[in-house]
Amino acid sequence: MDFSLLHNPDVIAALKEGFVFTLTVTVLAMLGGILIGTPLAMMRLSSNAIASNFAKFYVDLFRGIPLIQVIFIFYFLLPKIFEFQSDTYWGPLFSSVVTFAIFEAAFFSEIVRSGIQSISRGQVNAGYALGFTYGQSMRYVVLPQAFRNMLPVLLTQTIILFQDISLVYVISAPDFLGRADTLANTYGPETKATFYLIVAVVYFCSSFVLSQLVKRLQQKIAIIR
Amino acid sequence: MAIVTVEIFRNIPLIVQLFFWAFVFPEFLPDSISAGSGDVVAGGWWKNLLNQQPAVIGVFALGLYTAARVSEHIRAGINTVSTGQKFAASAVGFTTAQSYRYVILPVAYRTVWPTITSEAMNVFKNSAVLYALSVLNFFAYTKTMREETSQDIIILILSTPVYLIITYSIKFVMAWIEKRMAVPGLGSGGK
Repeated sequence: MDFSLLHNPDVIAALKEGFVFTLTVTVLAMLGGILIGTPLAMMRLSSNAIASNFAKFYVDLFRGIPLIQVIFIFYFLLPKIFEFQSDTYWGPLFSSVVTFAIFEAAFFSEIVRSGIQSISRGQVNAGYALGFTYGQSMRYVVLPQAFRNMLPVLLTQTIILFQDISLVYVISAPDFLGRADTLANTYGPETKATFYLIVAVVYFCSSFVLSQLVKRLQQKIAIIR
Repeated sequence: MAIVTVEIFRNIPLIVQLFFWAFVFPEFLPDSISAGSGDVVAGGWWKNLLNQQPAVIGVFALGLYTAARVSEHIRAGINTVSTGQKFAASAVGFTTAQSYRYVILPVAYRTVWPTITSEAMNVFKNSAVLYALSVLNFFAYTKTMREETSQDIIILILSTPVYLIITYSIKFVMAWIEKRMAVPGLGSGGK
């Protein structure tokens, strides 16, 4: 094992770029996942049988398929819908963001659903009593409270998402693991161990710190409530 | 010690853990002969195993990864068992091992069975990732099929239901077991 490679500025720059890619995908996919997941949760809870069954089907579908299968499906499907070069930096970025946003939407929608259900029925009825429409009572009464209650769970799911992004390695996207793999191929097979160890340590440190922060946030919220 | 182990396994992505066990771990093993080059290298026997039977290493890594997650669920389950039951067990004269075996764990397992179910589905889904260590699983074969025929979309669409069917069969079987094990009056079913 040889850590002198870390003194090479090119190596550091490449690893940093990979980490930034992973972070970008995490943030964009989380936002996308919440944006798609919230309507899904509302559909799941609605009295309309078609909407509710569609949301149930969507969630069950994505919970039943391995993530790498989903990554591959979108990686081959998306270029047929949108025109983009799949071998550049932006192609894999776009493909990963869309894949993870759609995939995580299934998980976020379940979280949002339990968040909405945690708000007592009386609050919704109070909203209706004030003359709010369904949309208004969701927007002004239910969702603000629901999001606050489920914030720790959402962030935990985001940490899982952050870890799952390492799987885009399989479509040779330039994420953190992908970059480390490319570097290992450039500098020879004996550096493989070094690079993978660095990746493992960095992943551990960042997710551990994040999960501790979430834990603290959870305690803070729990005290206020 | 248990906390450190669980935190390490939970905070590193599965694929990175697979690579860790495959490529980093043997560097820490004592020297032995590598079958490939005939040289004496660190952890040679482990590398031989990786070349000949990658599934062994894959299952080992996946097992440890899943064990850490399951242990967290079981811990949560043990915590839900009321202290009264634990005291009652020791009052009857059970040793710690006996009270776990006969009082605490039977209740704890039943409480966390739904999360164990989803963990069982996860371990099946995660097993697809093992192809990264060139384990010849279903995913690896469909990938070879795609590369040889270029019929990407069709093969992907046809192979997806296979996963769905197996995942939901696991769920079904686990639900059946849960029903068979249910103790009347215990948990939410008895309320």
